[in-house]
Amino acid sequence: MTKKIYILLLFTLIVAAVSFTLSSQEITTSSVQPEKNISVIESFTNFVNSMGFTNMTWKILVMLSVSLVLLYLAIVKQFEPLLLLPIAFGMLLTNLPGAGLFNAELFADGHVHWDKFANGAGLLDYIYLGVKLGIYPCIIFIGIGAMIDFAPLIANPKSLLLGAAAQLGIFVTFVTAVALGFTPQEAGSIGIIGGADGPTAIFLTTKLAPHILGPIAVAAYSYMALVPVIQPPIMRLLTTENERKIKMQQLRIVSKTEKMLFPIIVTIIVSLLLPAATTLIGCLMLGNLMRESGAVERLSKTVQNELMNITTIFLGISVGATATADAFLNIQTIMILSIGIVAFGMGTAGGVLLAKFMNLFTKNKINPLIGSAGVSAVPMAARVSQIEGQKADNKNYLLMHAMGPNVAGVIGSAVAAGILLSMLGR
Amino acid sequence: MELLHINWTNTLTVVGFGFIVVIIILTLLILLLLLFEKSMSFFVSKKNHPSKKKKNTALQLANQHSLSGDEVAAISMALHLYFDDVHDFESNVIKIKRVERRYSPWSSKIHGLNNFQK
Repeated sequence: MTKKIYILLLFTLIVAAVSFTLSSQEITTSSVQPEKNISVIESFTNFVNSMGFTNMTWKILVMLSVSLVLLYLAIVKQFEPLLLLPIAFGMLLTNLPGAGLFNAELFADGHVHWDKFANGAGLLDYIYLGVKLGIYPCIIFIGIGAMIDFAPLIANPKSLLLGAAAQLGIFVTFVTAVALGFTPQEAGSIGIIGGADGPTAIFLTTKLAPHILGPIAVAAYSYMALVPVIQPPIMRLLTTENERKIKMQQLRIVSKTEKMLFPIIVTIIVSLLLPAATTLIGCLMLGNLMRESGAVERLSKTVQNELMNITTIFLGISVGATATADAFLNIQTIMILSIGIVAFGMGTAGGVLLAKFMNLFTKNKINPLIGSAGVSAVPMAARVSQIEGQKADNKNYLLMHAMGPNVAGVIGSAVAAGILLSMLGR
Repeated sequence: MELLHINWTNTLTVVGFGFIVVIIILTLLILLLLLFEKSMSFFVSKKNHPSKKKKNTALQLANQHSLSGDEVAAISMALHLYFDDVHDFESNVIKIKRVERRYSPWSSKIHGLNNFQK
């Protein structure tokens, strides 16, 4: 048996040796151009030069450190991990030298250079197209709409005013940014951080000032995660103990018909008044109609879960990819991050102060703590109002009352974005 | 008006106009919602008019949405107390009670074993 195997192996080797000799003879006779000799030293030098380590600069090192810090905040500290993790990893990928995953020159001057795509674009370039063309924020808005219950807002329409007042932060920040030397387009994009609405901020920035998208997205999502830290001191500073103890009247029950008609009416009215806001408001209300109609349960579940999650991954990675060393490491970024926190603070203050002002005229008193929820950040800001209210009186339940201004803030920030787009858009 | 090479007229126009438009649009929505609420309550009251009522069932009463928060709380509390009373009161003291069984061929170990095993 073993002898047979040895004979078979020997035969195979002989056949292989003969065929190799014949083929090598054929190559030497048929080839016209002599193949270039590959030098081992040259190959090694090229390989070493192409390595990321040899192309490392201090800027890249800083950016990699920033992305690692963001990853730490997302994973360990749970700061908006669903978005901060992909953003931080996108930032990590884009700053790896030589990888060529994202090429900012393809999107230079605010335009997509389609001709350059043919010459070889990176993976993140293709994914970034969804941000650049304004697709991802709108899909996310459909998902948000499908998750939001507008019943507290319909039951207490006055909370829309609180949502409007909380947009004060956007406009105050706009003035601050202009005073600090930003162009009106950049200032508008920075101001929208005050709306505490990530998709709106990304949507407006891609339209007005795409070159500062990275810092704005990082600022918007980081500060949204910090809402429980930023808001309470401002809320306590602007309210008295007695005001924080105000118990609000129970909200009326909203019928299904009202809930269904609300998205349709809002879309028509807002779009006719402000066409620039149609994209965001339309998507938000489409998602909400899917939810409230009950006729498309499968679609509603899909936009709330699968579609939303897939888009979040793409949005996060591609937004993080825009944070290249050149675009991120400058004084502008530090200024954007500093002004962003002012925007959040001003928005919170605007809502609280208007609630106090409304109490001067209304019979049914409003707890001013719910005013702070006017800065979107659904449902985090409403939860902060509830927690602060319970600190003053542990039998006071403000959550549902705060959800009114909270969802009004989403509409308010989309409207504010539409206004800025119509006034500052090129 | 120029200060620090900034056109403040344009800036303040954007801010003033922008903020006012936000307020106006959202105020319009408030008015619409109030109108909406009135019309809905009108339709509900028309629907529940005594002449059109067939039977005053419990379901219809629940759908009238006329219960105040205090009433809802009182009913909830009453139900909670009632259902809480229904349960047996347990002492939470657990004891091992030894039971001495009298001999029976049904519980005999000897009869249970296979005596024919080789």
